Amino acid sequence: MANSLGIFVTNPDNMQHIMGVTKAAKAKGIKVKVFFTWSGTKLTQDPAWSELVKLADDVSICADSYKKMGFNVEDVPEGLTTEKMATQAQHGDIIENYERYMTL
Amino acid sequence: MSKKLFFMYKNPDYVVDGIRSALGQAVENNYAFGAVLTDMPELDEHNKENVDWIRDMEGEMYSTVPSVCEKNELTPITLEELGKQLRDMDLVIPYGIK
Repeated sequence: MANSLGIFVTNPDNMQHIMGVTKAAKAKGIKVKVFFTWSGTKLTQDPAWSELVKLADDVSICADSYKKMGFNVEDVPEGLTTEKMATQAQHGDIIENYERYMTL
Repeated sequence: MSKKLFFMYKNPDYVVDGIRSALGQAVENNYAFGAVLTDMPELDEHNKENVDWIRDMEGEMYSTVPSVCEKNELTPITLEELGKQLRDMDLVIPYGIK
């Protein structure tokens, strides 16, 4: 998919970079998908989370990781739907379908 | 089209989930490889089976740390060999850098 960027997030310390890259990409008209896994799912509790889900075109998380980080999978983070509480297939979607890839 | 992916694990807190993530990509019809670059605890049987699954799907899980290879049945690799492997990959994924 032309003009698209997928961001794979494992690190809970990088929210400012996720936001910065997403804002910059959107300002250039680039489609952005962000997938959070393992301790990256802790960022669902970050104050910037609600802004990110409004800004990015697609945001999803690994439900299994979210559970392993101590969260209740029925407690769906703001801005997500149950189908966005997903599996590593969402990472696969970025790898297969997005023009650019980065991990944070 | 299937892609060749190489996961790099430098932080012991991320290795087990990183292997799970590699397996997830193997299931998605990509070729998943990985290398553990740090000491880490022994994998449990479930996660050793995950490594076997990756191999069954034409991937591999390596380590540059001899003791990690021994206790977790990972394939030994030197930094030089790792460098050559990475040149053949479509994507190199540093997993959980802190």
